[in-house]
Amino acid sequence: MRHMEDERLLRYADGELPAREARQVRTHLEACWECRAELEELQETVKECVRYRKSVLQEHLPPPPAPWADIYRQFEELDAVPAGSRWGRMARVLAFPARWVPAAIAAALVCGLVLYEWQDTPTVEAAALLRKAVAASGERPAVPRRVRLRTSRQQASRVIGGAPAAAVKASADPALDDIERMFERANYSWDDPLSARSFQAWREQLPAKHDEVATIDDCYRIRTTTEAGEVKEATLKLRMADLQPVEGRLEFRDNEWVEISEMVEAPAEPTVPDAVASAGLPAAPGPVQPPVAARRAATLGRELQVMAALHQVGADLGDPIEVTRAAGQILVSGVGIAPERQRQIHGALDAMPDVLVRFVEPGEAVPPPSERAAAEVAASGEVLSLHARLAEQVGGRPHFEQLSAQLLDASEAMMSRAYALRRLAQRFPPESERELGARERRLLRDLGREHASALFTQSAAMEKMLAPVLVSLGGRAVTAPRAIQPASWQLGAEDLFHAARQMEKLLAMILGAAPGDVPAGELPSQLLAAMARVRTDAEALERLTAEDIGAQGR
Amino acid sequence: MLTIESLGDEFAGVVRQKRAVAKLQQQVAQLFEEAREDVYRYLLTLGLYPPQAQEAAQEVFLRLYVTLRKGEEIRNPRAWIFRVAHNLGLKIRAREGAESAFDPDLEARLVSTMPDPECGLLERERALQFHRAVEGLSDQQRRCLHLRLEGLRYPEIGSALGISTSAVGEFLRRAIVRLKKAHCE
Repeated sequence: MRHMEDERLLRYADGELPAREARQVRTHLEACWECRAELEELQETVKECVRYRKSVLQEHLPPPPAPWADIYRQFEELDAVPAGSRWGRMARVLAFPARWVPAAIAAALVCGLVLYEWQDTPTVEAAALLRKAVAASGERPAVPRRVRLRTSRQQASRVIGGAPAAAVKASADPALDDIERMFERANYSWDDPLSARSFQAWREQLPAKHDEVATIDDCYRIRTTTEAGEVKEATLKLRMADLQPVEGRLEFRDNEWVEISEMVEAPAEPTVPDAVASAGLPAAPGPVQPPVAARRAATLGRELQVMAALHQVGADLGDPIEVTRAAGQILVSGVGIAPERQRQIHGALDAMPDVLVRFVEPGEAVPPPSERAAAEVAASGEVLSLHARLAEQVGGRPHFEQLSAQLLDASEAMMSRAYALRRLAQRFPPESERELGARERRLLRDLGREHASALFTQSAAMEKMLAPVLVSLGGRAVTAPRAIQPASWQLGAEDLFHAARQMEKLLAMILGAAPGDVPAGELPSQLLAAMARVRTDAEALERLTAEDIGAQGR
Repeated sequence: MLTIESLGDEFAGVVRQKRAVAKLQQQVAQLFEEAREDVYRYLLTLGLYPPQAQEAAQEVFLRLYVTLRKGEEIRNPRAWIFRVAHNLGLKIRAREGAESAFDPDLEARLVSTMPDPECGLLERERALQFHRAVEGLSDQQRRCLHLRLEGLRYPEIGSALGISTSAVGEFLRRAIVRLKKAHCE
């Protein structure tokens, strides 16, 4: 039995795991004394923290030096001025503070306030670009990659992505510790230092900032300057083709700086002790990021062949496997893949030239999907009453539990398809697809069509199980056809993915596996509509991919 | 045209608005009452001097009031307050320079406290040891821990500190593992 990591247990205890994962942890804990004891130890430490807050922080930190101001009077003062100048008024209120506040502090506060209010006008372009970049990277499983970090005094490299906890623990280089401290100082994510999400998170917490967006070669460059915090300027370069971050730089107020860039070679062997590698990769840092053309040298066609081969062994459905192009090679990486599965994947890919297969153990126990507990019942009384009626409709509680488990399994299988389809559409957008030969385009569309057809069958089966019950609970399916037909199968795939996700969400809500904001009374109708939407989108996508194949066949 | 009816409507509108403002004031005042000391202490842990921390804590609640008056929706006011307090605290700290951070010297305060004759000595030793372990955490680990102790969820802590939710999980894990050692030793 593989045991739970501290972080997972802590996140479980803190209620921060998604419902499904929490159920898996709970099931594991029921079976495993060792992990249960571990959890109890964590809880003991949490208790100690609470005691510390109470008996040390609350008791021994100096109390407020003055009585608290009458807040109602301050409200009145703020309301006495027109809305637009309230902050200015507030600044004035604070400029004449209680007798014990030194004038310098008050002045600093006033400056801060004024800046905070008036300069908080983020450049829409930068924000929008970051949002797009985050969305583009959001759904892809993380793949380990090596980045180079450089400061004025030292440089180092580290593997990021894939298994963050393991990667972080693996840092043995003292230079990395120094650089990590710089990131902490900067309030910038160390776990994911070269990503749009981290840049966005850093940028969004700034009270005042100024953005610039420029186009340099084939990249967008976002530069954000700020008066707040230790970093005065941060830059992120996003590759235009796919909005992938390729380079970042933080400049500190004390003139120190740190530069992050992706290494050209496939990720070197991570220093995770239990990493398994099938191909010898250089562990030493490689040269700096080369031109984009070299990075994309591995042809799209070969990548597609790899994806098709993975599809043959079903490894594109749910396994955390990522396919990337790197320096003329196709890198297939997987995290936490079972040995038997690893052998299958090697069998499918080893004969292909320029394909590297790497598996990394995350050191994190992931129980098999079959280890799923029955759906847990969620909060509101309304939802509980809906469950009672659902259970009654299907012939009692045990039947309901059984149906729940079946539906959640089916939903998981459907989402694996939806993710695989979306990944395919994102890896081969229309402009990349045009670079492919006719045979490869046919293969690509065949793959897309197969996913669409499987999604259709899966959602239809779920609909068959659920629709009569939902109708008897008062549900009515109303689905308007999509106003705009997608212009390409890739867009159709995106529509279908969102429809499937909506269906999954509503299903989890109705089965009590996840909390939600939809009123219980509307759940049956909304779920019926969502299921119908998946079916029609899947049909539409089947047509789109078939038409395209016809067009290509000429 | 001005009619008795329209005047009546206008009057009713004014009354409604007044009531809404009074309700809002009451809500913010209640939150101020409940959370001001927590915000104040959090600001002390960021290195603000007590007068600064108290002033900034008050300002955070006024800021909340102004934001709500503008009609903005705030889903979790407590998390919002800590996020704004954190940003304001760092801004004040940045202006003050690294030299002048406030050090409450909790260790000296703990040592100078007369131990309770019943169970005090051992208890005090334990508290001291735990305090040293907290002091040994990195800034980010400590901040995540303090904010978690104030009841913020991971995404809220991430939003306050400008880091990802997974980074919060990792910082908290590291903090708890280190504190566990101190606690179990």
